[in-house]
Amino acid sequence: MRVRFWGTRGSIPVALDAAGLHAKLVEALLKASERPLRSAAEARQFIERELDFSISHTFGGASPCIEVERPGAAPLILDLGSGVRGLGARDMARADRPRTYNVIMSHMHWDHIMGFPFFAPAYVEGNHIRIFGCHAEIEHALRRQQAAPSFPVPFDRLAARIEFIGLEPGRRYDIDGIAVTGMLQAHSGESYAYRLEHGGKALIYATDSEHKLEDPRESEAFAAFFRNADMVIFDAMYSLAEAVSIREDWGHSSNVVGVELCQLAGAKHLVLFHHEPAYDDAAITRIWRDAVRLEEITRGERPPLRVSAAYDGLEMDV
Amino acid sequence: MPFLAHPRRLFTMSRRPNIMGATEQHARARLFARAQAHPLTTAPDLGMNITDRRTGNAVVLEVTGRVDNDSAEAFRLLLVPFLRHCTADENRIVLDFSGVDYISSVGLRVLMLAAKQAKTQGGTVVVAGLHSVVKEIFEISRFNLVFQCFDSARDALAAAAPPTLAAREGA
Ligand SMILES: [Zn+2]
Ligand SMILES: [Zn+2]
Repeated sequence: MRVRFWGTRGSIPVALDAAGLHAKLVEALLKASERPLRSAAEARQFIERELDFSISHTFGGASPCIEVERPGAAPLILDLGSGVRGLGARDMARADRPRTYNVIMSHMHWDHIMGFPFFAPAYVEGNHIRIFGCHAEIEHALRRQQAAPSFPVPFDRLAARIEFIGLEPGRRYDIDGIAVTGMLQAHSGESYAYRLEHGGKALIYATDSEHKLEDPRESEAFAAFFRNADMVIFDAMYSLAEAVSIREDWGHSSNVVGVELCQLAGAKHLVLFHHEPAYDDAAITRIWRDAVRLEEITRGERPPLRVSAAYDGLEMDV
Repeated sequence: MPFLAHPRRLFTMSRRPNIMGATEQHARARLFARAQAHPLTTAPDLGMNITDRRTGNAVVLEVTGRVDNDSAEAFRLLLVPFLRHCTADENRIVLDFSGVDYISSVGLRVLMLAAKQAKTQGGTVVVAGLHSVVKEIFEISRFNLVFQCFDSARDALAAAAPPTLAAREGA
């Protein structure tokens, strides 16, 4: 499975603004002034090798949307946040033919549905969109967001064939060759994690989830669900201190709990996701470095856990 | 502090009543009796001990071992009798962590709840002697921004002496 992140920001989309870009340019130019860069290739090499990620890149600001790609199969889309607009635009630019999309929804908060009205393939006759999920109000929420006076095109005018298929948590389903199991998470209005298995590999999508740390059985249940996963995409929006104090009951988790649950589960790769919109690239980089360090100092006899921070445009194989 | 602009507010914004069940009341009473009777309060099978030492208006709790998912509940229960008497005037709690090798998120949450309870009673819980891994865990979890951390129990006690403390809290 190839995992492509189209949107990684939580709660509301954000963009790198002029001041943020300016600050990156200043740092890059200062660093570059230490030596002459004589060609575009040298400049690219300098950017890749010598600039910190937070200067040379940006995590991006589209809200949650992930594509799971397999050769010869329809794309599987996890959530319809603003990131799905780019996915649709890519497909519209390719040779026109009827397409099928399988979509799995974690829950129906705005940041996870707001991209759908801008998903161009939904407007193309002959396309087929199958929307799966454990949440009870998927169809209602998607219809409502396009109802007047909030959007000019009502849901019924979308030309693609759109189907809604409810899933039950704890049951294993086959969605176009991928085995999918859902699990309820603590989040306002309910959200669901999914375990996706294909070709002997397991991918977990577990966003918008608060881990209360009150009841050891809760951690054990999640560790069992994450067991031996090859990749765990995890809501690491807040610091642990915030998650257990001022932002208790806000429905999100931390890099620290992500590392601990993956260690308990014997997972191989933790991907930090649903970044806080108030954080700039330097802050998210710090959260990622901290998670990497926490894994190192608490690893003990366990095999290493790889830790990444997702950014819009990141692609990885599972 | 990019993450928490006003970390001190943490303890005042999210007050919750401390609801305890009957079993917990009993455990609490038992542990309190035990804490009075024996200076060493221990959960040895869980790899964690607490020793208490009274100094003036403060009590120093020397914690040793690991405060992990297995021992965090015992840690919480061991703190109960001390927290109960932690007020503005007496029994300020200094947690001496110089013998702690590891603390997990569940253990850190117990600290947060303890600090909140103390705060509602006008008391304080501070930590001292964080070192190596535990010191880093405090930084990574940002608990260093919401807890008063001292290099040693001695420093914490010096700071907790009434005039100094007043100056500190007014800052
Ligand atoms: Zn969200
Ligand atoms: Zn949500």
